[in-house]
Amino acid sequence: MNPCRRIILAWIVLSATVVSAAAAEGFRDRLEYRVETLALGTYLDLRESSMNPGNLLALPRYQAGLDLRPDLALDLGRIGLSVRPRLELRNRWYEEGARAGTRDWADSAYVNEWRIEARLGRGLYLSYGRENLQWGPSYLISPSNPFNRGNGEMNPRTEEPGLDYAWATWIADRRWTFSAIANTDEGRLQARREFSRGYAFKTDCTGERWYASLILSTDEEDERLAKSGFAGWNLSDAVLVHGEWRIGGVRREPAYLLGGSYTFGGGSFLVAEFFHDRSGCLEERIWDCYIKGGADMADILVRRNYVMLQWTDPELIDSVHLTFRWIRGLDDHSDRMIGIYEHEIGERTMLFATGGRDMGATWDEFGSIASGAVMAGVSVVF
Amino acid sequence: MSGACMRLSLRTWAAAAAIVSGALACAAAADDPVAILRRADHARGNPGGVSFHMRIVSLENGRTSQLTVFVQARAYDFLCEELDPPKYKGQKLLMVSGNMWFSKPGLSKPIAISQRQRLMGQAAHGDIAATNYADEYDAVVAGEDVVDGEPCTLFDLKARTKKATYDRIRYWVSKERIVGVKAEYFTVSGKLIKTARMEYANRSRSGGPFISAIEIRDSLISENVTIMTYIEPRFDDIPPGILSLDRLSR
Repeated sequence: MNPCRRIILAWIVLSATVVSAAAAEGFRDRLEYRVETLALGTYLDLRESSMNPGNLLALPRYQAGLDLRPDLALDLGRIGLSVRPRLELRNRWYEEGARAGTRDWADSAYVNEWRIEARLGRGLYLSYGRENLQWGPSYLISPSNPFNRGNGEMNPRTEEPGLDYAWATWIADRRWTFSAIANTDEGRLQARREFSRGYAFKTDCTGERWYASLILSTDEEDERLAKSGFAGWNLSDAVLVHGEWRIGGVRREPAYLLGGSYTFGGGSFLVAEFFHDRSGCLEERIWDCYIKGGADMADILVRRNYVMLQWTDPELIDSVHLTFRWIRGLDDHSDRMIGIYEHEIGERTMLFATGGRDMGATWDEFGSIASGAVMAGVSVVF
Repeated sequence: MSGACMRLSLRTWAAAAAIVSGALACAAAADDPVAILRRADHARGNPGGVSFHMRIVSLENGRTSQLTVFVQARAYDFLCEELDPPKYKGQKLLMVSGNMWFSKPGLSKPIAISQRQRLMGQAAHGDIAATNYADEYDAVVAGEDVVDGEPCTLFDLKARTKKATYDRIRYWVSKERIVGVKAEYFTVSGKLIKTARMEYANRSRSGGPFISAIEIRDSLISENVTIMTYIEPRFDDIPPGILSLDRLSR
């Protein structure tokens, strides 16, 4: 079927489902839905490098796309259901490599997240499904998460892949929460290393203006216990500090992240973070990190030391939101600058633009594939 | 004097002493700033649990914005879910033990935010929470005043720690209703940030006054005003799963 027709048909089916479900007696108060439609364009300023010789990765210079992102949740009291199907349509222009001068269409339909949950009472919850499971206070990367360190902060319009989890949570009181988690499948995370089931036991404690979590985890490939955690403190109404860490497990060497934020009187805030991973790659050329060092292409940062500064103004001029982020790789001295612009128009519509600029040599981490990228478009929410 | 008379006399004296000491205690409580502030705090929150819709209307530099949220609160903890306009639907704000997190669709995980961050217009995120002036501030009675024809005690509140949202507050508490009806908020440097007026048309579970509206006005540009209206509060227990960071994005 033609991709456009497939998208339109899916849209009609989904809209009819939502509307009929919402209209059905008894479901009106139980069904929550939010449907976001994105029309977007991207530009990628590719570089010729050993990471992508002759555009071996077949990356398009331009893309125009349409995304449909419905979030549906049904509350049946003791049982909760949620599903987040995704439809994507892309028209791609190639200017480099074997496909140079060509255009093609690509479409995909998948369920990024879904979940069924049983609420057993007394603060006990059981769930199974595909989720983008994230925790911790850090912005750059989440070293305490044994399942996926990426946290999607690079581009808020790009969704992190869902993995399959079985989950049991007991919220003992307002201070203590205990969770047992089994990662049963890699889901949509395309990791290079072979997947093995992972297990974690997580203890969360919330104190007066501080919080902390301890995670014990292991997986079937490497049964050694990994210990990780995170903590945050509210030093004042404007100053927050946080940390995340991990010791042992598959990566063996420890990693930690330290950070803090300051909120100005107008509401804008500045975040600073330092990240060190002793198992990070020290090879001079980033390509060797993947060939010799065993780095995973799915990992967002592969070297040892980074600093990050981020400034966000959630309400700069009425409905304009701005974020600037600078990441410095301290080992190869490469930099990545990211700017995120969002402009609200009316009650349902938002214009957005995300621009990234990598400043480094072709053998550095930032700059080895592209020197810049832009994504811009419009989002409409129903 | 007979023994019976002696016992009667002792009982009488004991009863009289109890009455006098009770009356003195009541009088002291009535004049005790902490006791008064605690009663005023109770009219702006509920230790057991309360849920309500809140409509926030903000007029900033000639531009009007509106936001409707659903708040579930227990003591000083709350979960605020944004309902309307549609572009904000699904955004959530959680405060537990003074820690605040923000979550929205598309955001992979909740982010920790400070209480200073604004919700809309002049309203800070922390303004949704019940006040705890009795514990967070040292109170001094600064005098008496009349607000909208209502006699009030004027308190000068000074933050005990840096953790308090505001460094200093001038707080007008109605003498008759024991509720805060007006407040002025100051920075550390003594600069007036904003003023607030409170209304109590709602009723608590015990039938006492409960907050129904807060009007917050910018001290520099008095035309910039934000009105928070509390709609149909329900006083029910809030399950622990509602006020849980683990379940904020789930």
